[in-house]
Amino acid sequence: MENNLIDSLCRSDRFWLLDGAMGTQLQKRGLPLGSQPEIWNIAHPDIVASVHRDYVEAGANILYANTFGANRKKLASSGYSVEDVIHAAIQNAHAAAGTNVLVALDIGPIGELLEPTGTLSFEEACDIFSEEMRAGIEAGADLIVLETMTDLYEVKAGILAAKETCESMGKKLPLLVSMTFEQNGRTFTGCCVPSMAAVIESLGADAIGFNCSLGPVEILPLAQQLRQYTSLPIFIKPNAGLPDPQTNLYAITPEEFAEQMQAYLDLGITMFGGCCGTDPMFIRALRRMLDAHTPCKPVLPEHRLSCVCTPTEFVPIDRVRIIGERINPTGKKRLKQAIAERDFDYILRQGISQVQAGAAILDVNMGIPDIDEAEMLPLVIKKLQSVLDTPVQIDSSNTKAVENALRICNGKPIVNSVNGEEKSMAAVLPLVKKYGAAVVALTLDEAGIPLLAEQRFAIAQRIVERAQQYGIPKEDIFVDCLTLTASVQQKEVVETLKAVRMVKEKLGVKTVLGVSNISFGLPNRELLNHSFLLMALEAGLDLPIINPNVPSMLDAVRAYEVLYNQDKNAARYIENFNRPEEIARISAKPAPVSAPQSVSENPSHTDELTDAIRKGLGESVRQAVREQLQENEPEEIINHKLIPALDLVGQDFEQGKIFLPQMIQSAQAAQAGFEEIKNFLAAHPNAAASEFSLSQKGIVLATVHGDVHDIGKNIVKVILENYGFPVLDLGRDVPAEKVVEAVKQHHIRLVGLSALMTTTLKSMEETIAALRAEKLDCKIMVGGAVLTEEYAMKIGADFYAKDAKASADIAKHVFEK
Amino acid sequence: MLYPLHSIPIPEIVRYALGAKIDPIPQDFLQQAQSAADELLGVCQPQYHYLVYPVQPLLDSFLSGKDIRRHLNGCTDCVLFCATLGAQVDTLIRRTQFHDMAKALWLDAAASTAIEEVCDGVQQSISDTLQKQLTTRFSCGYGDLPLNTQAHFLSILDAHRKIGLTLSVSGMLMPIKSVTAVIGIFDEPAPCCESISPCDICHLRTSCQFRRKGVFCGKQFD
Repeated sequence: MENNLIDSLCRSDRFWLLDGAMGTQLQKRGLPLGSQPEIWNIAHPDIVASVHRDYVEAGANILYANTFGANRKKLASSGYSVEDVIHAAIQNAHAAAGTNVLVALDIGPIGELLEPTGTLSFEEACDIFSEEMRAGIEAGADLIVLETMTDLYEVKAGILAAKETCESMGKKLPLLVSMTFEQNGRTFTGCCVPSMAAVIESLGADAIGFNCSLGPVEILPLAQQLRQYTSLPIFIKPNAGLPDPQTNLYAITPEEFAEQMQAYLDLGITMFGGCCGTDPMFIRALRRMLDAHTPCKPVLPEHRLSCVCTPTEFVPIDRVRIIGERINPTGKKRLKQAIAERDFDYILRQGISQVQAGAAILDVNMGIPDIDEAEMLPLVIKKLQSVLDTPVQIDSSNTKAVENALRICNGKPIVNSVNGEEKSMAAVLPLVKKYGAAVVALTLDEAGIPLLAEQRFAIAQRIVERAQQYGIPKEDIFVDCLTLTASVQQKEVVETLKAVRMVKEKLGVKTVLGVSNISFGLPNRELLNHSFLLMALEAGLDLPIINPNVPSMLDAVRAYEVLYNQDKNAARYIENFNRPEEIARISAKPAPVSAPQSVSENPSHTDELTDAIRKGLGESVRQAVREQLQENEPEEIINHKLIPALDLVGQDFEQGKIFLPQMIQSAQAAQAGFEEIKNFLAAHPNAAASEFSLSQKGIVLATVHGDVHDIGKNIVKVILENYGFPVLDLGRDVPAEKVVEAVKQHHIRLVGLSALMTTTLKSMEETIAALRAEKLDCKIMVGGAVLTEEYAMKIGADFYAKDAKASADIAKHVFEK
Repeated sequence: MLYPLHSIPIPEIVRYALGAKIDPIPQDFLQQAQSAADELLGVCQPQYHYLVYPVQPLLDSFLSGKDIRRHLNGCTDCVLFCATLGAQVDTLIRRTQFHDMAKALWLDAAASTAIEEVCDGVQQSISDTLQKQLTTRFSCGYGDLPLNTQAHFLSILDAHRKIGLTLSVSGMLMPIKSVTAVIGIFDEPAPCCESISPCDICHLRTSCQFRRKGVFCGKQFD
């Protein structure tokens, strides 16, 4: 029955009529505004069933049970369990449905935002959905619907929960997923239609659609767009037009609604219903309209599109797309150090600068010895995705790390990589399928990398075939014919190029290559890299993995796109090279520098470095530090130049001569100097590096549990770091025990806690109590908008920091003792 | 409902960023504020939603405390209101903090100004449509109106569904740059302007850094 049902829903030769609104119908029957409709499943089952019955009588084939908000978060204070409410709801629906009408478990958004915007974790979201689904399946739901979703990440949690719950219960229920869009073609969280299609289809839902927010007229263009990006059946459940903003009443009549819905028939859409503002009259009108028509065959996309995405950024592989290679520690000392020290800021800055330079996708690899990759890789991807919309390439040979990363990754990523070895295919391909990713296929196997192009082609073919057996379409496979080093295997360079051409032409798949490997061991690597890149592009390379911050590499891609008629009218080329920075670069003039800050003159400190810090000029500071490192010890520069200059800035701030943004800009300029010194130390391990060890002058900073407003804490961090205090930033929403653990592990002597809300001051108090309970020898300073000195003392802090400058003064005081 | 926000007042952004009012504003501050405003306008999706509601049942049910009663004095009806700039503003500010904290501060100030601007704009249009004078905005957590009123407030407005606005476990609005408020609708066309000064009922009135500098933390009315 279940398999037949899925087939039947997916067939385009019959119409399926869904029901209309539930909440407003219950309000009409006395449900007070603002109270939970789901409670009425138990309190007034007869009324709920009567609404269902009205829809059955109007001609609906599928009823949505009254379970939209029946999750443990929303029911928390209701006195009812999820199980009780859902069992009652499904029963009420079945009572009205009889034998010919199906009952759907209806699941709406949880009601709290997921990380990183909110605080709800992905796994908790999965668990909340699973609980609802288990109850729904037990109670006898015929299908599962996720609806009114605005966050594609939450949708992913819902689909995974549905798949896993069904599997664990040995059931196979159809899964329909609909999202809610605004007229600008985005959801509230910024998700676009192509990304929605890519993720929901790849994760294996059985139908996809839109509901709520807009009327049939406004949803139509979205449905037309969706039709181009998916071959899944589409279903539409619009509102009764747009509400009047004053009265909140919907204006269109059932007949107008049904008439407007006719436009969808041409798209081959066969599943319809209504959302807010619709009632049984609307469903009856729809029934009459459908009865007067026969279904059209849907015009499906000609072929699947190769793509990757995040909810907000859809990247079709329809032209050359650059994969940034810099978050991969191989051969990068500074990054290795950052990974080992969990210096996420450095890693994130690598991501941001690559994206700013033109990377469309970021490769992420955390493979250094003695690190728990299975923990670190997903963590870094989470952090990257909290600040960037760019799709990622999960790069690891550790299957557990790949799976953990795939699970929490938002959007559709690439897995790097699978190869022709039997055990690699058996381990990686099922994960790629389950999590709806694309995958890089390396043309090597048990026997290593074959020398000849034909042999590499054969491996590629084998992987593509095997992937298809797992249900992974070839559009999701990107073949890597492997770049060999010209200094070692000069003869084989051309074999790689030949293989790229064969794979592209004969297998019809997209290709990917790590380019920089070509020049290893030879002088002027940049020349070889960019020459090889051009040759590979010419052979059919789609996804070069390069360092986008090297201008000549990007230039090669830009030129190729013009010469190969991919950049029509050279539009992107012209736009890029008309930018002031590019004009300056090409004419070899110095780039325009942003205007320096106006600072009060102080004739007694006229040296260049001090001046540059006070004016907030990072590049000048970097230059000056670089020069000084030729003659002076790092420690001397820090103690006699950088810190005194910051003291001057601090004085100016306290005296009201400069303001917070200027103080921060100066701190950032000084940071450029510190970064230069760090680079120097990484390259000269013998130089005294004690300045940067955590235990000596390290400070733990955290925004307390429950609080996500962390700009204040981050400002404090910038200032402290620039006074030479290494900061271990635990982030926001940090539980007390994590603070305690960090203090113990690193023997920290000063902790800074921040809280913005009166409600989270409680967490601050609890964190202080936890630190005191462990009798740790550390001082605690606290700050935040609603905090007062008096309150700080009351909850047991040692210091109250009224602003960022004060926190630096406190730190100096603590460590001078 | 999408609010068409086309500009953000630059001097207000500067005042937010500096936490002080200076005159004249130096050119580089104006530039920083302008570029923050431009970048913000590129990503924000201001949404709002409101309901007109009779005052008495609200006071009888969930709007508790004497301050909200004073605020709604002379009003038979009121507006329950919510607005947000959307989650992408949070992401933009978060991203910017990693590579340019000073710029992030300017963006944060621009966003705070922008949400006030949205609220003012919507409030004006409500007032125009109803042809009535309105009180200032009064939010959960002001005076003695408990912050935990927020959850019920959002559920009446169906704020998650209408504008994507949610509440965290600890009672914070998310996305961050969001506002909820009760706005009284005066029965008489020209009310006696006995409106409460927001500072009078503020918990921080004795320790406020802004007041010490002679400025107001919210939008300046002058």
